Amino acid sequence: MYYAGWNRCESVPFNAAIGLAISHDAGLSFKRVGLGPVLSYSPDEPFLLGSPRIRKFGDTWYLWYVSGKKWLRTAGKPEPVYKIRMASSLMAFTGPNMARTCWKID
Amino acid sequence: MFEWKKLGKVFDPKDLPASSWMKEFAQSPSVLVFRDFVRVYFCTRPSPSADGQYMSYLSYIDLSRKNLLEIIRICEHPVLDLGG
Repeated sequence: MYYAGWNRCESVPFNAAIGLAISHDAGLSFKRVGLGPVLSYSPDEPFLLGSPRIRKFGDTWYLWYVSGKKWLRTAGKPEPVYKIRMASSLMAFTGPNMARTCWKID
Repeated sequence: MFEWKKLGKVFDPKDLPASSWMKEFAQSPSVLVFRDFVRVYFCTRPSPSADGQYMSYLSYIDLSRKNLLEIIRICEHPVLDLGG
């Protein structure tokens, strides 16, 4: 299961990155594969990674997700603006150093 | 082009007994289909802290495949613990 893990921040309300957890009881409970995220910030995706959606077509895994574009200052709470991203890999996305091709869908 | 007909609310943690660990919110549903039921995972929250801050947890309900509006099981504790 790919999920978004979030934490509170100071100058903006929160940040998030994508994590992976595995179930060995047919989906009743999950354990993280590690303490950190499998998809985290990078030069082109500096904050707010989330909404992971994974699917395999043929031999290739595809992960659709969002990354933060900007925070909008409003009269009330700041609002995040996201860009839609897609990554593809021949291996499932299990760690930050795996080879992947990133596609930008804006 | 798909046309969708709304069938109405299926689940709200506010409708659960006061003793439930889930109090508010059922967000971002994601589904696993089993033979006899559909498991709908979602994010939910216990009551906020005194200063109004929430923590969110992963939960699920199981819906009967014979009637997708019928809840046959409700998760009794979070399926994933909080991160570090």
